[in-house]
Amino acid sequence: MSEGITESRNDSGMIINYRKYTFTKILIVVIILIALVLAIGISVTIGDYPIAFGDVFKIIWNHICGRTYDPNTVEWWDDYIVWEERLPRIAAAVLCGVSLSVAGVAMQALMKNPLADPYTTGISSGAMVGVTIALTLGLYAPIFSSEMGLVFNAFLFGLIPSLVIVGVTRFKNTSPATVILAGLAMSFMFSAISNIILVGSEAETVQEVYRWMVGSLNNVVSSQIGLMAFTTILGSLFFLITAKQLNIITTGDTTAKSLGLDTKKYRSVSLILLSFVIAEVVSVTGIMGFVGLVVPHMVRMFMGSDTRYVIPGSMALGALLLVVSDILSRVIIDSGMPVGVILSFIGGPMFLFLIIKQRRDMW
Amino acid sequence: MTGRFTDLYDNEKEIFSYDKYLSKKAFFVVICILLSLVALGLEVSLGKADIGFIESYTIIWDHITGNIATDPVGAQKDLIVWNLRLPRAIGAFMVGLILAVGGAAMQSILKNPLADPYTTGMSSGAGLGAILWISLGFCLIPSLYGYNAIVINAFVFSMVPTLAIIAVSKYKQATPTTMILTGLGVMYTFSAVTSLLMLLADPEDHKTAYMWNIGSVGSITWDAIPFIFIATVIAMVFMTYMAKKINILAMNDESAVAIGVDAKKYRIVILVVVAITVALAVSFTGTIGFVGLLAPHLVRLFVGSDNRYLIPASAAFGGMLLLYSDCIAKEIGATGLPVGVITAAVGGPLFLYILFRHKNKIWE
Repeated sequence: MSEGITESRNDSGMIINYRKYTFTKILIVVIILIALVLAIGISVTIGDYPIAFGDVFKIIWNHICGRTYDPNTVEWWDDYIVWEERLPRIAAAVLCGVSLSVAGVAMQALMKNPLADPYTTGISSGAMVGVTIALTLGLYAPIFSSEMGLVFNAFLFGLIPSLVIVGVTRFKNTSPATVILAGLAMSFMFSAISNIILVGSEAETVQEVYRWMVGSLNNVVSSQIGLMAFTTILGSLFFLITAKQLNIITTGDTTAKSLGLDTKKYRSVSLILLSFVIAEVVSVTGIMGFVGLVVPHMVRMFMGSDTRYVIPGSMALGALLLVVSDILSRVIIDSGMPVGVILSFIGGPMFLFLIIKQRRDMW
Repeated sequence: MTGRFTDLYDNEKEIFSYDKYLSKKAFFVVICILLSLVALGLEVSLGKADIGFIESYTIIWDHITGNIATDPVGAQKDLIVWNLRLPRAIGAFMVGLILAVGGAAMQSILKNPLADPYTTGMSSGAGLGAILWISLGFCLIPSLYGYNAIVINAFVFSMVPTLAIIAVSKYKQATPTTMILTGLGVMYTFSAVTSLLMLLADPEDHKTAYMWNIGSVGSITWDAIPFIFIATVIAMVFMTYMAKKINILAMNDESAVAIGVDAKKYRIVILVVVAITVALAVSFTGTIGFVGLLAPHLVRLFVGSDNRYLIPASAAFGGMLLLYSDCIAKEIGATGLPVGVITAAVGGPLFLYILFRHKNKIWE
């Protein structure tokens, strides 16, 4: 009798504990989101044309409500600067952060490997070949202007290694090890191609390609945001909805199969979707390192390894990190230092600090 | 009666097949070494001065036996072979060997097929050291300049990530993941500084640093050989000696402890040895990629994952791979095409082909 009571008390204790546990996670995400909104507000105010922090959200809200102004009035200029000049860049930062973080979580789960990142299937090396041949040999699809041609090249070549891997492994086996090793081989081959071209080219061109490679938001134009938003939302939704499947697949293919998940199909579909999402981001912003690899790890340190929470957490943190880095890159160094450099600058030490501080065993 | 007979027969068959299994592995190593000797002649005979394939062996032999040619042409050839081409060939083989052995050990102790000798962030350290001299003219030992300054900088900075890992493992359990992640943290911090300097550097310096990062064995001279040789000996002797321990570390740590192996201690020790040997090699050549990562994988396909065989086989194969790649680099790259590019361009497709043809699962 008394045993029964203790048990039920324990049960309710556990339920309360579990609620508390879930609540903490949701709280963390909410806090990051609030920080993100503030960061976006601050980011809009930065630039030559002065806009007060208090006005930022009013201007955005008015624009969304469809208010129009007479041309060349102060309100019209405010609206124009915010909406046409500053928001595209910030939107790109947010989208880039979100999609790379989601892709990082998904890759690490699909490959069961803490070293996996969005570029594991060779997308970055492929895109770099596209950019290299555009900048050194002037080869890109003639229907585009040279700027869009660069983006298109990066996108197209970024897809090649990744889709080849998905295609081949579909018929052989889709075990994580095979995909990873094939991805490594592909990355090395594609970097060899761009290296062969770069070794023989002018020093200025090499630096230009490098500048692209580091990852930057300087060349973002508003017409690119639409497609990027589409792929980002598609990818995020897919992995948010299938987060449970991602959890299952981390337990190993045998267990996953016995739980009724078609691992081969799920992995192939995910990889194809990821290829498009990442190739799109890379083509617009260049190879932004760090976010996809490290943000998921950071989130795991706070929230544990349950993908259902790691995905939203990473999305929020990734976006926040990129927006903050972008602010810093514009405030501190006016010369347009690429945001990728700033990102590693603040991210690297922060990550080291977290590793030393955290107690949870993540993997 | 018949039962016992069958048992005996089976046993014999097993012993026989185990012998065969061993001889197959030995055969692989022997083939690699023989092919490397062929590559030595190739490498020495390639270049502007016309020296024949067989001739190169005779010149080397003559020099070793003290029978150096005295006529002007012969003396010149001896000079070219002995002072310019031979150190490069020997260096290429040894660097390939060190990288492959380091890669094999790292993949096993970190239990990760993505690991390579640079996983601890060493390459970013070396890169930082190089750019510090190339663009800022900063060297840790102020009296040095030029190539020597880069070598010293690269060596010292490439040890920093490893020191960070040791420091972190004092406070935290040194699981493979913690080590990998610590390495990543240091790597990003270093590469942020490197990219900053690379972007601010003037284009010519940028390109020099870029070429250094790809890595090339062209700058190896006799001065560098003793250091690389010491690293080679340490890598070979230590890793072969530790092979059984590495096998145990590649299982899970609980089993290792149950067998009586202090997994954490050995993992750190092996990590440090890999770091020192690889740093010694790459500070002379730049961070040559690919060999350390894919040579062990390729070897695994033939020899299996037992480190007692994997390590010597990787050593022979890695040396051979880099030597042949350098031959190709010398032959087609009149502009000084770095060997790292060739290794990737040749090894990549080869690896993909073998990976998909092969039915054995090596990493599950």
